[in-house]
This record gives sequence, structure tokens and C-alpha cells, in this order.
Amino acid sequence: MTISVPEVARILEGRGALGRRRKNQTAWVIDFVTGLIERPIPADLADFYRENIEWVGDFQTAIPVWNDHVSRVTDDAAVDRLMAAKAIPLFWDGCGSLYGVDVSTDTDHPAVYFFDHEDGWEKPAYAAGSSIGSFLLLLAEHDAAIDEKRPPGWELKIDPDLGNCPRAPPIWLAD
Amino acid sequence: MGTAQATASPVGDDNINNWMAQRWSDVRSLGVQAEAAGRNLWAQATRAGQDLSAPNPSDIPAIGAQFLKASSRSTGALSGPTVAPQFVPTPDAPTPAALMQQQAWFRQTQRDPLDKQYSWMAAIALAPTAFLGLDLPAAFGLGNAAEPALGMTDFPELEAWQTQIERQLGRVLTKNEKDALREIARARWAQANGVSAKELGAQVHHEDPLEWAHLKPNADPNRLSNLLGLRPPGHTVANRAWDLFRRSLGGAQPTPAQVTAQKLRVNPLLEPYVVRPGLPQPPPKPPVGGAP
Repeated sequence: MTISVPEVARILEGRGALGRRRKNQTAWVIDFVTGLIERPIPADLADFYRENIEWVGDFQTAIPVWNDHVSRVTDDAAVDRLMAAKAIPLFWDGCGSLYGVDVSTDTDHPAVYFFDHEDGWEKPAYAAGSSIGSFLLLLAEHDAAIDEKRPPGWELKIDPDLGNCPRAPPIWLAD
Repeated sequence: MGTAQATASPVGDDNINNWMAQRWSDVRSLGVQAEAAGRNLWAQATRAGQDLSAPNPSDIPAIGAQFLKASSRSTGALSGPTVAPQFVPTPDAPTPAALMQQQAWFRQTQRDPLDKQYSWMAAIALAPTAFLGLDLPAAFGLGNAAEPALGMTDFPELEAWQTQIERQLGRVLTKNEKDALREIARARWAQANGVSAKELGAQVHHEDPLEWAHLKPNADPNRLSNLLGLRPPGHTVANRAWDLFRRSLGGAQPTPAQVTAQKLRVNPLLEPYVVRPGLPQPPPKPPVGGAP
């Protein structure tokens, strides 16, 4: 069962773990990314853009910004950084790496992967969520899990399908 | 041959030992006067621009002895303290006594150095460093050793996990370990700077990449000197530079020296993108490309 992005956003916002952008550029962003991958974006990704999220926990979204005053993109948010790996960035990890949603297959609920900048962005390092909704829940718990030293595999309690992502294994099986 | 020498000796064969003893006694008694006279002559010759040869230090007493001998012959007086020329010390010819006096003065200076005399000034100058750590009692010399204050660079809640990872260094870090180290890096940078990198629109960059942290097993990958706040374009520059370096290795492991050399090459490229709390950011660069 896939949890929807709007529902997760509402839950996390209620916890104070999610912030939204001041300016809503959803329509422009969806058009921009659609042009980038040259086909309609997955339904989950469109929902993600509609939620207009700025951050979750300590993680900043990677969404391009169009500036009306100067009529140009003032922040491309590295949106094309993962094109070679057939993914679209969702969040920065705060240390230069990216979480990106898979666009290699035509599905409405694609998986999310972590792309390590030290690996050259060429392939996903590990699976970070079986869908964008599940990924957002895991991301909100990420730092707390490390601080609390949760055992490997704690993610399965939140996202039981994490081990079934097609392009990479979950983090505790990735090495 | 020994007989011939004995015949030539002014005191005869039987008294050769007495003659040598007398000669050494004369040398000893004349030594101080001869050296003083020699130094005086040397100083006079220097001032007058005369050519007086004394390539070795022992030549100075020899010159003085010759002068005393000539003086005693011309006056008919025996050499002694009363006939020695009066020595006037000059900077060119310091006497052993003057040198000893100078050394004694230096020793006194060492025993009573200026930094001890003015140490109270250092206490005032260093007091703000205690304020930086929010340790007000320490600033006034009232520190309590039993309750150490938590400064900006103390991270007790993170130390255990960090220590656990450091124990395993010496081999390539796993993805789980890198993930945890990055979380700790963000927390450390935020604690040290009083604001998170996210709030400044920045990311935390490891100058020594985690990828090769195992090459420096005694270095904490999250030491503050290894963490840099960077605007995202700066991280892109760093990524490209390290990617080129990685490709240049052809799959081989770099040496720690190679990693350090590459870091020193990359860091100047990042300077325009470095974010430091309290410092204004440089104006954004013109974009590449136009409207979508």
C-alpha cells in the first residue's frame, strides 16, 4: 500500500517537521521538469511539487526557482544533475548529495534513491523509499534514528517495501 | 744528537728539566699580560689600519709576548705586572672579564624575563577567549574543574557514535557510516557556528572526502577544520574537481599525500562559495542560459 504525498505532508507539517515555500510556482515547476524528461512526470512527483515543500527536518528540497522580476531561473537546484542516472532530485542531504526519484520507468509511484556525490551521480547508492510518501516519512526520522542509534533495518517498520526497490538495495544491504 | 742539543742548551744537560719548568712558569705568569698586550696591539693595529697578522686566536698572546719581551729588552726591566702596558677594553677587544660580566647579565635576564614581569597583561588579553566558550567563571579565574562548561566545540552526545566509527577507520567507510558521519557533520557545523547550514542556504562540505577517510585513520573526518559551509554551486565545483581526481587515478587508491595535495588545489576554487556566519555573502553570479 502506498501512502500519498499530500497525506504525509499534512502529518509532517502537524509535527512541525515540514516547512513550505512562500511562493507557489507549482505549475511552472511541473512544466519545467516535464520538458526536462520529455514525458509526463509521475503522479507522485506532481503531488510533491504541488505540496510546495521547502524543507523536511534538516533537509532542503531541490526544486528550481523561476524569478519573475528578472524573467529567468535564479536557482536551477541541480534539477538536471541526475539525468544520466534517470532520476529527478527531490532533496539535498545537506552535505552535497541528493535524494532523487526514479524516472527510468513509467510508473505513478516511483521509488526514491540516494545519490552520493562521491560516487559521481552515475547510479543510486541505496534505496531511500519505496515511494515519495514513504520516503518523506523516513526522511523526517533520519537524524533522530542516527542519534538514537536505531538498529539497521529500522526503516522497514515505516516502509516495508523498501527492500523491493528495483535499482538499489536499502542502505544496510548496500555495501 | 741528544748530546749536541745538550751542549747548545744555555743551562746545561743536567738542568734541562729545571729549565723547562722555569720556562712553563714564565709562560703561565706572562700569559694574562701577554694576552692583554696582544689584544691591545690588535685593536691599535685595526684602528690605524696596520697589517698585523693573527690568523689563529692563539696568535694574539704570542704577539703580546713578543711585545713584552721587546719592551723588557729596551728598558732592561724584567717582565712583570709593573711593566705591562695598560689595557683599555674596547668593543673590538673585549676582555674575558668583560665577556663574563656580559654573560652574567644575560643569565639575570633569563631569570627575570619580560613575559613574567608583564604576565598580568596576558591575563587581560586572553580573558575574551573564556567568554567565547561561555565560561564566565573561567574568564575571571574562577573555573570549577568538577563541572566543565559545554563550549561551542564540545559535542558529548555525538562522541560515542563518532568513537564507534573511528575505531573502524582504516578501511573504506560503509554507506551507513558515511550517512551517520554526514548527519554528525551537519550538527557539528551548526553547533560551532550557532546556525545551521540549511538556514544559510549552504551545505556542509568535507575538505578531506569521506571516500578516503580511511587513508587518514588518526584524523577525525568531522573535525571542524575539515568542515566547510558551501553554497550549492561551490559543492558542484568541488564535486567536479574531485571527480577528475578520481578518474585520474584509474581505479587505484590514492596516497594520503595525494589526497592532501588535491585538497590544497581544490580549496582555493571554493573560496568564493564559502559561507561563514556573520559575513555577507557575495552577490550572485549572472545565470547561465535564459528562461525555460
